[in-house]
Formats: sequence, C-alpha cells, structure tokens
Amino acid sequence: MTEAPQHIVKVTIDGVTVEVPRNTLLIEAAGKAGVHVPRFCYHPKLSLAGACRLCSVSVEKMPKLQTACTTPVAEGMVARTNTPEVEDARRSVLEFLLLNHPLDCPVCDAAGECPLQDYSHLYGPDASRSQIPKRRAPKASRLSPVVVLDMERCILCYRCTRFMDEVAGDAELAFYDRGSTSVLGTFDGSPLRSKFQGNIIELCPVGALTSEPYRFRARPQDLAYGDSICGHCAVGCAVRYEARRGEVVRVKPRQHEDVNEVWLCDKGYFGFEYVSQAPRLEHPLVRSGDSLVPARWNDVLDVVADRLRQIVQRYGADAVGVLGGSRLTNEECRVVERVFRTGLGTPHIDHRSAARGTGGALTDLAGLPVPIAEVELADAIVVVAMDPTEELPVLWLRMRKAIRNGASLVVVSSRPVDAERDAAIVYRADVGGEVDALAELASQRPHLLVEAKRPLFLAGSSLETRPDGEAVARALAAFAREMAGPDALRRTGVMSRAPNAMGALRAGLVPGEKGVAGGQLLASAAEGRLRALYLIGVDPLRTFPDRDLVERALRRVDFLVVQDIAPSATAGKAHVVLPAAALPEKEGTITNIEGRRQPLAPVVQPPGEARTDLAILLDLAGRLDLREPSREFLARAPGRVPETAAVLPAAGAPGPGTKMTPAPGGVYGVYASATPQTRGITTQKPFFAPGGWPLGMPGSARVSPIHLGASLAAVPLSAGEEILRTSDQPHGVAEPGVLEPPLRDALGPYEPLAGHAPHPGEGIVLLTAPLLIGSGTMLARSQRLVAADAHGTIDLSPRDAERRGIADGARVTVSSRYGRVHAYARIDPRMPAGRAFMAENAPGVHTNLLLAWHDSQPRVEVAPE
Amino acid sequence: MTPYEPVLLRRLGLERSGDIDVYERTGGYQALRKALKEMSPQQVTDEVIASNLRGRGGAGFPTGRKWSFIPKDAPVKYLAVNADESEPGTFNNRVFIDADPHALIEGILLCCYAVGISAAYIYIRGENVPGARALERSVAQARAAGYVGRGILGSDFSCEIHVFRGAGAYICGEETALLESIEGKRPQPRSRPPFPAVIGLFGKPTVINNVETLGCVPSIVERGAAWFKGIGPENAPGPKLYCLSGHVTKPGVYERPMGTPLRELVEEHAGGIRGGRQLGFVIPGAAASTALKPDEIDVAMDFDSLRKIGTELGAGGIMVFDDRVCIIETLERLARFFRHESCGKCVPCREGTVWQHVLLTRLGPRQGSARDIEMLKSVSEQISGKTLCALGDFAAAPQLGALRKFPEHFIAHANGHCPVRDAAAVTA
Repeated sequence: MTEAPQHIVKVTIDGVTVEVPRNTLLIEAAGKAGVHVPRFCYHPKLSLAGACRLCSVSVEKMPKLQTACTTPVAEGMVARTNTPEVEDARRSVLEFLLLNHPLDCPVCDAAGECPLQDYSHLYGPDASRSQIPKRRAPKASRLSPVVVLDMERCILCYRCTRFMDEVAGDAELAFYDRGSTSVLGTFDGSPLRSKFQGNIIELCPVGALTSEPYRFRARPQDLAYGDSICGHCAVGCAVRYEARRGEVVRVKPRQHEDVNEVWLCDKGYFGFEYVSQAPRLEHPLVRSGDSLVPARWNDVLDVVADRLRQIVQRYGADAVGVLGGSRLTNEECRVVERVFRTGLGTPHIDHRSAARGTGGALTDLAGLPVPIAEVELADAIVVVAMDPTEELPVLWLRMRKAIRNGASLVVVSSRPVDAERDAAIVYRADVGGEVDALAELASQRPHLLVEAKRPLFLAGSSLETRPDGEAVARALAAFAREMAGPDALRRTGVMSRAPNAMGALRAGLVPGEKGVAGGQLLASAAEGRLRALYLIGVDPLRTFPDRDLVERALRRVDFLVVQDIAPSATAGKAHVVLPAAALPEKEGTITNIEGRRQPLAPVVQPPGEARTDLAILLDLAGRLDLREPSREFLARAPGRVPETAAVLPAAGAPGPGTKMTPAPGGVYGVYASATPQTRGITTQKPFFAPGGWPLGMPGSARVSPIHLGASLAAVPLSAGEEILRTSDQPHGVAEPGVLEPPLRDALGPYEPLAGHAPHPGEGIVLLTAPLLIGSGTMLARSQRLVAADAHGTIDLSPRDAERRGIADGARVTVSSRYGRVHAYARIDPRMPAGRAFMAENAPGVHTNLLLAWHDSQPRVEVAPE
Repeated sequence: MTPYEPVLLRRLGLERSGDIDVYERTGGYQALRKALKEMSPQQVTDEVIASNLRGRGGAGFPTGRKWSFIPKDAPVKYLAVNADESEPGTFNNRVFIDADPHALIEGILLCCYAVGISAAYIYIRGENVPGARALERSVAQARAAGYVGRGILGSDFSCEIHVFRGAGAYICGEETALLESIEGKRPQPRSRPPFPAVIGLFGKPTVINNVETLGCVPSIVERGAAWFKGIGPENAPGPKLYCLSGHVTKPGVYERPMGTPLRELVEEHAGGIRGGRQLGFVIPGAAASTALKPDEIDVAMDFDSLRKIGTELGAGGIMVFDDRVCIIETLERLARFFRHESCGKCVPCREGTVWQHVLLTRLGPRQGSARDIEMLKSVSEQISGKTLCALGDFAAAPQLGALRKFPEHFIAHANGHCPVRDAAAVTA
C-alpha cells in the first residue's frame, strides 16, 4: 500500500485530518485518525473482499455509502463514520448477520472475544425483527483433527479461504453451494493438510472455526498470559501463552512484523499440550538398580557434582561429553559453557546432537544470512536439501510472499518436497548428489539466478548431520559466488531448526579444538572413550540416526545425566534425571535463525520440583566449586535457586586456571546490562481491567481498541493500553528484540569437496528427515495434531511399489542391514525409483532402527505384510 | 407500424446465415476490412464514441468511452464478451448469435483492433449449448479465412477469440464475477476499484461488452456514426433487440429502434394480449425492473425515458402479464429467483434476498400481515445501494417499485384478499 513518501494526502475523517500516503485505504486512514471503523472481512494481510459491508462510511461527493476497506483515499477526501445513514447501514448488516447466526454464545468458544458479539452490542439493533427460522447446518464438523467448523456460526467473511489461497498457498478450503446456503468445506470432505491451519481459527471473526485442543477449555477472561517466543523452531515467532489455573491451554500469535508478521504454523499453534497436559518430569530421579527413584535435589546434585569431579580427576576432563543446549535460553547456554568448558574443562560440548563436524563452511554460513523481513524482497531463492515448509514453516510464508511478488524459487533436492509446488526450477539431485547438481546447474547459468539482484542461497538443516554436509555447504557457497559474485556469500546460509541453535552457537556450545562434534561424541562414547555424558533436552535414543550406536554409548558410559522436561527413552537409561522447566515456564532470551535475540516470559510455574535449567546449572556450578552468586542475580534468576548457587564469569572471560572476576549482575547481567529487553519479564495480568466490560462503549472517553487490526504496521501499544482480542488482529505487538550482526566476517573461498555419489548396491536407498509434525517430547499429548499422520509411512516410487506388489496404504515391512520396522506404504509419483522416504520422527515407528551412523546411504528392502 | 430496416437481425431467416460464405456474400467482414485498411484504431474508437452507442447489457454506459478508458500503453489487454444472458425474460443474445454469429465475431475484432487487444473471450451461458457450438464453429471458419489469428488480412493486427462456456449461475453475468469465472475461480464479484479497465481479466486491463453492443459495431464502422445516430433517440441511438414474452400473441425478439414505445411493441409487434384478455402489468426490463401499469405503456423504450418513470430498460426483456396475474405472486417468484441466485459474497444481498422471499411467501398466498409489508420495504431498502455489485440493487428494485406502485395489492393481500384472484373468482 505504501508508495513513495512524496505522495502524501490529507484526509478528514469525522473532523480529524490526517496525512497518509495516497491510496491508503480509508479504513487504515481512519485508524490513523483514531476512528475505529468496524469490519469483519477486512484484514490487512489479505486481499480485499468488500463482502461484509460493515465498514460502509459516508464520503463527501459520493452518492452512496462506500466501504472503507476498499476505498483508497484521495487528497481532500472527507469521510464520516457516524452519520445516521452510516449507523443504519451498520445496524442492517448486523441485523442481517444475526438472522442466521445462532445465539449460542454461552457455549461458544469465541464468546468474550467475538467481534460479532462486540459489534452487536455497539452498533446492532436492540431486538430482532426476524420471524424466520434460522438456517441449520451441522454443528461441530471436523475440517481436520484440529480445526472444528460450526457452519451455523459462519458469517461468510472469506478470511479463511483467502488465507489458505493467498498466504499459505494451500488451496484446500472453499465455499460450496451459493448464497445463504454456502457451506465451507474441503474437496471431497478430506481433512485439511495445510501446516498453517491455526491461522484460520485466529482469522475467524466468530466461533465458526475453533481449535480442537482449546474447545470448551476456558473463557478468555479467565486466562493469564505471558508474551513470549515459540519454542518449536528457529524462526522464533512471537506468541502469547495463555494459561488457566496454571495450565497452558492456548497459544496465539503476536504481531512481530519482522519475524512472523501475525502468523504461526500448526506446530506452534496447536503444539502446546506438552507443557501442562503431557507427563512431565516433576522430581529429580536417581538410579537404584533397574529403576529410577525420586530423590531430593540436594542429594541428586551432590551425586552429579561428585561423580563428574571423580571422572574428571580419574580420566581427565575430556572423558566428559555434553550434548544439547539448542533448546535452552542464551543465558543458560552461557552457563553450560562456563560450567563444562571453562569450569570442568571438557572440549566435548555440542548443542547439535547429531552433528558430524564443526567449523568450516557449515559453521561460517550458519543461520539466515539476511533478516527474515528481507526474505520477502528476494527475487530468487535457491533451496538445497531443504524443505522450508517442514523445517521453518513461518519463514516459508515469507518465501511465498517473495514468490508472490515475482521471485523465482529453485529447489535442489533428492526427494520431493512440498515447496516444489511454487518452484520455477526443481532439480532432482541423486542421493548425495547435490554437489554435482549444483555444479551442473551452475554450468547452465539459469538467467533467473544470474540476473537476480537480491538472490538467496539456503541449505537445509540436514547438512549438519549428513556426512557430505560440509561438501554441500561449500558447493552452495561456490554456486552462490558463481551466480551472484563474491558478495553472494552474504546471502548464503545453512539453516538450523532448533529454537535456540543460533544462541547456542554464539554461546560457544560447539566442540573446542580437541572436542568432537555431537554425533561423533556418541560414537566415541560407544567406543568407550567417554566416561560421563550430560544430556540436556535431547533424546538421542529416539532421534539419533543410529539407534544401536546410542544404545551402546549409553551402556558404555559410567555416568549418564539427562536433564529434560519430560520422560524419554534416553532418560530411562540415565543414572540421574534432572527435571527442567519448559520454555513457557522460563524467562531469558533466545536467538532465532536471523540472529534476533528475543525475550521470553513465563506464564506458568514448572511442575512439581522441576527447576529452570539456569537454576539447575548454577546450583551445580556451586557444588563444583565454581563461584558465588551475586545478590542481583539471585533476585532475577527464576525458579528455585538454591543458596549454594555459584556465579560464573562473564562472557569472554579467560579459561580455566586464570583468576575469574565476577560479572556485574552475574551471568544474567551479561545480557541484562547489554540489552534492556531481557528485563522484559512480563508479569501476568488479567486480560481485561478487573470488573469492567472491556469495551469502551460509545460516548465513553476511550474509543474501543477493538480495531487494532487497522494498525498492523503502526506503533506498538504504549503502557496501559490493552488489546481486546478480536480475530482480525494479533494478540499484542512483540518487542523488536535485538538483531545481532551475522557471524560471517571470515568467508572462505572454500576448497571444494567431493560429494557422496551413491554406491552400487541392492535395494532402495532410504532417505530420512524429521518432519514438522511428528513424535517427540514437544508434541507429546498433541495427539490430535499428530493424528493426521498417526502411523509411520514410507513414501515409495510407483515403480518400486509395483515391482513389490505393494498397494497405496498397504502395511509393509521395511528392513535394512541394521534393523526392521513396520510402516504403511504411500505411493508418491514424484519419488524417483530406487529411493524411499521415511520421517525420522514418524509417530509409532523407530526409523533410526534402520539407520547406521557410518552408512550414509542405507539400503532397505520393502515387502508387503 | 413505422417501416424499419433491421440491422442486427438482417440475416435472420437467411439459409445458412451462420456460415462465413453467406456472411461474406451479404456484406460481412467489410467493416473489418475497411477498418484495417482505412482507419487507425483511434479512428474506430472515435467513430464509436461519435455514434453514441450505449451498452446494451442494461447500464447503458457509452461504449466508445469505455474503450477509451483502457490504458493505451498496456502491453496485454483483454476483451470479455458477456453472452451469459441469464436474467428471466431476456433471450435476444441467443437469437442474435443463432442468426448471425459472424457479426458478433466482426464486432469483437473491431473492438480489439480499436483498443489494441489480442485476445477476446466470449463468455457464453453454459446452458446455451447450440450457441456455444455455433460460435466455436464460426470462430474456426473465421480463423480459416484469416479473420482471426496472426496478421489478420495481411495487417499487423493479431487477435485470438476463445469461446468460454459459463458456470451456470446468474452471477456469472455480473462483469467482474464473469472475469473470475473465466479465470477458473468461484464466480463472485470483485470489489471496485480497481475497475476492470485497469485490472481486469488475469490482472490486465479489460473491456467487457455485451453481445448486442458489439453486434452494433460493424454497422457503425461500415455506415458511419451519423447513420447510426439517425436511428432512435439522440441520447441513446441505434437498433435494439426487444424480447417480448408472457401473455402476448406473438412472443419473440423484435428489432426496433431504441425508444420504440412500449405500447407499439406489445400491441403491434407482439400482437397484443393473448386470448383477448386485458393487460395486467408489464415488466419492461426483465427481473430487475419495476413493473409498469397499463396506463404507463406509452413510454419510449430507452434507458433515460424508463429511468424517468422509475424503472429500467435492462437488457430489454419485456415480460407482459394479463389481468389474471397477481403482482404479489409474481414478486414472490422474482424474489425466489434472486434468493436462489444471490452469490452470497456480500451480506445484504445474501441474507436480504432470503428475508424478502420469506416475507413474500406469506404475502403472496394472502397469509401475511401489514408488518410484513413494512418489513419487505425495510429489508429491500437495506439491500438497495449497499451491496458489492448491482445484483443486490436488482433484487431490491422490483420490490421497492411495486410497493410504491401497487400498494393496494399489498394491503389487500395483508388483509386476506387479492384484487386479481377475487375478480377472477367473480367472473368465473
């Protein structure tokens, strides 16, 4: 909407004159003038519909009322929103809508945050004149396992269908039939498959679309909230966690124009049940024979400190390995680094639990090379071995925005990925053949890349695990340089998925010079070269691509500590289990894929005796005779910080053996002093002013803030302002956070490495990757979300399926040299023959049984059962 | 009966009138040859502007001006020909296409030449299968003869014509819904601005013209604007295809000059009321216009004369009802049509047409009340002027007009009587 700034026009709305860029929509200009124009169908992120007619206003020199949402302003335009004619029009729209809208507000989830309810109070008729029976439609039909449709409540604003078509690009939702008998549905009644379904619930201005996990769980006025950051992936979407009686019952997106705009993916939107509904670790546990028994923190941490000290004394510091940290806060990462590297002195620390190596192009190019907001300005995007829809879904929405603006997407992948739908070029590389594919593509000099002014070259997060990851990263760097010159490296990046992978990297949770990378670390343990393993928020038995190796590693070590939020397979093998707080229970900061450090805020307490990782690690530091805590730190540190906790040196402090000086404000102060944002510990407050109807009624001094959708690009709320939750707006405006400069001063020329061409062999090469929705701690108990794909599947090419007599949907046995699992066949015509795909996190299947760390291209045989 | 030489239907009744050889032999494609040889595109536009041809779809917008709104420098532009013709009482497009499909094609080519368009879509009502086939056949003939395609008649003008069968709903005839339908989407109107002249079909500037409008163009180019302006009234000249249906002796399509008196059409051309009955009322401009009483039929049938007395010419669908027909029952039938055909995109039309119809299902069978009359008025006013497209106004207009003109029928119905049926009962 915004044009060059010189085209500023003056418009007057209800006597208030404002200056706005020419062609600003009248509804936005009114917002700027402080005048709220009611609306249902209008949403600043969607195309214009002009459907609901609620925003009709009177414009001088125009004979009829004009819809403010479709009228661009012109110099000198004078509009009025409060004439009797306008009020009549509003009243009649609301009367029309209530002809058929059931007045079942007492049992409707939207009640209390429903614009139809609010507008009816404000502008609607006092009584119904209708004597017509209301339209009947099925109540509570399922559009998908997580989205419930009540067609009787639908007011046909077309927000959901526009979102699906335009923003998500998943054109799977449509209105059927016509006129007042229109029905929302999917083709053939099959469930929605979009990864962005939660947004249509957010967009729905009434209770027609509701969230299955939230249905009938709470009333908005009963909810406490914490404005925080989503902990599911590295995009770092701004969210609001909402809790009732100490349990998280809902997550909503907040507006952060630089990160998620106003969107969330379904993992973020629906995947909150792990916090309060799933089984959690509530007490410290120690091993007693075959079982783990609850114990006191004091005793357990003494055991941990003593055992670690003994092992270091006996075998040296490099007998200790630490895995994990990419789900911790930046502050916690610093403490991990101080306790284990600076304190104990082990070089074997890695936040990437299955990494093959460290340093090189993989590390230099880590992260998104440009701010997320700039992705939509790209004119060409190359993704290699990456499915952005699965890896970083909300970043994918930005990419789609770029594509809608004319950018070309180039996909280089050895297996079919969803993003290909929008690609200009799809290059199907052979397994391990991305290096060659990039070389070949470069030789063709595709004009859409050569001529691109703002290209982006991105590789997927699987590179860190793949044996040829470094080779692919270097090949991508060489490709970028060839297409767009040496500066293109500043537009080249290797993605990570974990929520604070970038923070952990910056905090130094990567192996030191003598250390080994995450995956090798487990291999070392399996070979008996490690005596103690300290695992933080990782479950390698489930996730590591070689289950047998993990089992051997866990058996071999003398001492295994698992610090996690929930019981896991790996925790079951531990000597000590330390219960930690989940992200919505924490304060601190995390750093997203673009390097933006954003503050968290707790909304609920950790369950039972669980503590924040920070509290656990600081306590441990004290017991390991590291340092005393500062008062300031104790005042700030969340959770139960024991009196014996120690303080640790500031970032950049010298290594072991040197005298350490306490940082001002303790560890936390390192950030607190640098960035005021970390003070942003939002206190819980009730949504509505106590005892008051939330709306400013007409005539009252304060205009209802119901319209905040109008000011999406405008300033954040100032203190004291509150947001009434309506579906056309985000739930609070996020703080910008601190965007740190990329860590890429030294950019190679990297020596090229050979790729991993497929070696000859029998059977089908199995490709694996984790998908967005799958099994795992963070989606435990989100059965409905996971239900859509409730059993593991293996994607086969039609030829391979036919040769083996396997029908689509048939149950099959998949076996490799390493193991055997059961799955259901899914025939994908896009899949190349001789290749198959299984999700690493497929629910109900231990895909890693089929894999081996030393075998980059495991062969499988698939047979019908 | 004033003598009149038909223009649009001059080939009606000729053997194989739809074939290109017959068309060419009877002067066809001469206008196109003339334009390509002697006239610049601007001159064609100017000639159409000078002719004061007004759009025959109902709105009566000056066609030449519409063409001149299209940005000249736009590299890609389209013409969409509205042949959806789906309002009850209109069927002149069908007759014209059957009789003279090449005249439409020639009109299309002249428009495309004038505006600089290289692709036209004829959006023809899906149910009109013979019409679509005739057009497909004619386009193929025209292509074979070098009138359609690349380098037409050796000039550097190229134009492709596509015949697109409609999606079977009244809304498809609304010009922006028609564009959506051609794009393969659910046919629902777009909000304006932007207007189709700026962002139309596939996002490009687009002219949308009615079949009958384009049918006038070859004659204008061939015989000149002055000749055209000599037919009918000055402010809306030219020939007009009137569709007469209902209780007339000879229903059908009659070509007469614009502004022909309604009485002449009903009594002379259509042979008066069938079976010697008396005229009850006339709906002059199809479903969306206000009915006229017998004493109003001296009105001239052109856009402005009808607007002056509170009704519309529409596409010229004249529905004649004899004295046995109850106006309220007729209104119920019209309301049922609008309810059924409301696309549902905007609230007042979607919900209001249902309410209107429900009220009339009570008033029609004399089961309603005075309150229902009030409500019908109120609901219709809540629709009128407040909808996304003109079809909401169409739904409201016949009701509001009838409430104004036939109040005694409504009141009688609310009181359990019907002047028409009561009289019929007495005479029987």
